[in-house]
Amino acid sequence: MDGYTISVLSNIGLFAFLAISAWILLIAGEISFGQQAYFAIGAYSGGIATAVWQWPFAAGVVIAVALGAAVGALVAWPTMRLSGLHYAIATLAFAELTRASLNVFTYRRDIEGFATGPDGANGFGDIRWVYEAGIEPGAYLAIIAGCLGAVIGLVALMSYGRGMARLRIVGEDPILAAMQGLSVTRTKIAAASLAGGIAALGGALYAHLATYIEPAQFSVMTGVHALAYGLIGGLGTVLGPILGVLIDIGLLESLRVFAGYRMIVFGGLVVLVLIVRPRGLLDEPTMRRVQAWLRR
Amino acid sequence: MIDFVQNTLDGLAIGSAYGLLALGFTLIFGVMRRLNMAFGPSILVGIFAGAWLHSHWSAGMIPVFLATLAGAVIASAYVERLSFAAIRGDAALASMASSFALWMQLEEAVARVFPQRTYAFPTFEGLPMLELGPLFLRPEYLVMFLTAAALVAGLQVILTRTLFGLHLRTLSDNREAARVSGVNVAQVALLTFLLAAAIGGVAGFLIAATDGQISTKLGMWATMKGLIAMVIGGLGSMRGALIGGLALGVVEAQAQWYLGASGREITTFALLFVALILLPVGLAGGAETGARAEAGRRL
Amino acid sequence: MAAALEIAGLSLRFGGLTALNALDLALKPGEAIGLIGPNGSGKTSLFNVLTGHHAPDAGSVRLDGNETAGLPPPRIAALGVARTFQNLRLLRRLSVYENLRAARHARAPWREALWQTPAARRREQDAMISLLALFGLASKTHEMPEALTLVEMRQLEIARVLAAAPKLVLLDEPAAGMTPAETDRIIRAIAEHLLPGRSAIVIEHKVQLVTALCPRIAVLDAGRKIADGPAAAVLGQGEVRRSYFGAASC
Ligand SMILES: Nc1ncnc2c1ncn2[C@@H]1O[C@H](COP(=O)(O)OP(=O)(O)OP(=O)(O)O)[C@@H](O)[C@H]1O
Ligand SMILES: [Mg+2]
Repeated sequence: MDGYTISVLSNIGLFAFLAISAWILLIAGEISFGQQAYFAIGAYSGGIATAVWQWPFAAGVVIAVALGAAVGALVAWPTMRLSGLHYAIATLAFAELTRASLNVFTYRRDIEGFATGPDGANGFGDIRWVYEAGIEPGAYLAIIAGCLGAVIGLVALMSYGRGMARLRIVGEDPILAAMQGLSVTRTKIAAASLAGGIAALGGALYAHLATYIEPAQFSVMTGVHALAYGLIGGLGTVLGPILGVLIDIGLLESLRVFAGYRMIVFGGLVVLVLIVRPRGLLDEPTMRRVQAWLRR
Repeated sequence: MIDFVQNTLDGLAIGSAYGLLALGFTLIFGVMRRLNMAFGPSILVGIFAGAWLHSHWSAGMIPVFLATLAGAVIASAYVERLSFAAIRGDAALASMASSFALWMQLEEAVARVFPQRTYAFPTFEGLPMLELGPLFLRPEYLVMFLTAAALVAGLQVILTRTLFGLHLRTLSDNREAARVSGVNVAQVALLTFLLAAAIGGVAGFLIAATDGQISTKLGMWATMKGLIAMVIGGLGSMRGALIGGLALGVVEAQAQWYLGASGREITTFALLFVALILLPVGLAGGAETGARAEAGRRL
Repeated sequence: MAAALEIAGLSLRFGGLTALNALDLALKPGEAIGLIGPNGSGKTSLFNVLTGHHAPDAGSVRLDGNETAGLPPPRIAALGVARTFQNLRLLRRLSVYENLRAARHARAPWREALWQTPAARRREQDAMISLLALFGLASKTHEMPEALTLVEMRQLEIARVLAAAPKLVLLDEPAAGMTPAETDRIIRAIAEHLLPGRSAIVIEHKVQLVTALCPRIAVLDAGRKIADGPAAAVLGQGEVRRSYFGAASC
């Protein structure tokens, strides 16, 4: 693989975390405009752990995921009783609050003679653990793919067990869910926590690939894209959001004929898809057909 | 103290433009029960149409204003057809995602035609600064405030005195009832969209003419301010939209003055977050907002 | 013997409208009672209070001695209350199988969210499919609910109640929209599979169904109980005939 392919694939993988994160909340019946906040939390905490505290990479990733999941649950706890649009705006407010706070967040330590750490709006550079450890881009791509595989595996386990069914029931009809004995609040908080952890995992991986991060990268635009990926790719399976990322970043960005017109083409494509399939390409009926075909 | 009053005054002026944006959102949300993410970018198209007229033909304020309105209305019609009329009634999420896709499309289209970072927009030149004792009021702000007030009054007349207004209100209150009583739902929805776009276009024009320069960031900016002001005020209430806009304007102006730009962002979003949790019905929304949400859930 | 369900002084208001007005009702264990009354008399509202969807404005509901008035729906469901819905409430994006299984998630341990052993999964599958078979739905296991007929949808809702293994069953017009022959089938299914060993309240406009299933009948009118007793006696009362058969056409 050449360097360009590797970088495109890495990007696809990293965005997939964010897209899956937004997708999980969609399944649980909530629109979140703010999953980029957890991506940012993961990127900053993971970066601080390895670059400032000099922890090993794995520990940085673990702390990022834990923090993302904890903050996800904490934010969900007061906001879950809000309905629909109010929840969406609350997530947006939280994400923008996070971004604005990172703009003034400074935490620098002297590491080998250089001041290292987040420096407000100037960003946070020198997150170099991966390069210092001599990990090649191809190997790092394998790490990203491995983590993504783990997330997909987790969702697959939840589909095999009761987790995804619970999320779907609560998402589709919270009143019925409650009368079936499911606690809607608890299920949604669990979903938000899971979504926060997954986005933070992507963020930590992203920070170590990019080596430089800044608050402006975690804008609303990023979050709304993540949301759109799931809606385009389809709500029927966890592969849906990944398909959405593939179409946007994989197909359009890498096909250079569209250079400069990517959004015009992508936007038009999305609009057409949604007219024909309001719940995305891999929607629930499609997945049923696939399953029926597999059962034969 | 003088500062505080001065900031409040400035905030109210900007807030009246926010209120108009929120009003446009509210009209659409009331009739469609869906979010039009491309609302701001439609206005963006209008503003750039105005700027183009200004730079190529040295057009004056009036033609630029009309071009802005026309651009916003045409772009909105495009959005309505593709993201709302063409998508099934029960697929609110799809409409939202679809309008977001059109947002991307409109923004990129504008950016391709206007590749520079910023463009000049005609300003209200030659108007004198107003002095009210120790306070100052930029004349643009006065124009903004008065236009917003006139527009709200006009909208009130449309809503209460015309058949279209009656239909619009019926549709907002109860879709089923409107259909049964013979309201042409599709037509009223389209007209409402265009009305909202025109209101948004006025707001966009006022903001651009006050700043004197525009960039493609304005689309996202308008969507965000309108959306936030609408939710602060109380979903689906027109009075709420205005109050929400004014409140947002004042809070931003005060925070900007006392805390600076990053302080303003932090304060605004922290307040928004807390307000949503403590007061989800909004500043002006009464029990009715909650009741409306509940109505769909009769067992 | 202690009552399975004891409702006392129950009132529910929506703004100015009184949906339930100081209602008293008691059910013995294993007893099935028919609840009739004109449209808007508060029958569904009673179910909504019993399942916790609405908190009552006054009064108490005791289930096997536990006070449930005002508890949230999941807590009440955990105490063994399950219902069907007048307007049908199926999950339209989930298969028939998943709709049925929805009744079982709450009682499973949390770890099964992530990991259900293949053996447990197979056991559950078998149980669910034999439940579906009881209602002649086995061949529809993997269909979406929209592929079902109205009768099948109502049967699926009843099967879902059964899957929850409740102590108290609440049926809201289980035969609405059915032909007499279909009504007969549903009566048989309810009598054979649902009622034995459970207390039940059955809301129904069809006298055929009520009398077949319930030896006892209570009548609601404008949120008040106006009659309560053996089916034949209640249906014979003049007041009931006027308020009920006078108002409802069916
Ligand atoms: N969520 C609610 N909000 C406001 N009013 C309600 C609500 N639910 C029910 N009502 C009102 O309460 C009264 C009783 O309604 P309910 O549904 O209990 O009647 P019902 O006896 O089940 O009638 P039907 O035979 O038509 O099903 C009606 O006037 C109804 O309009
Ligand atoms: Mg009823």
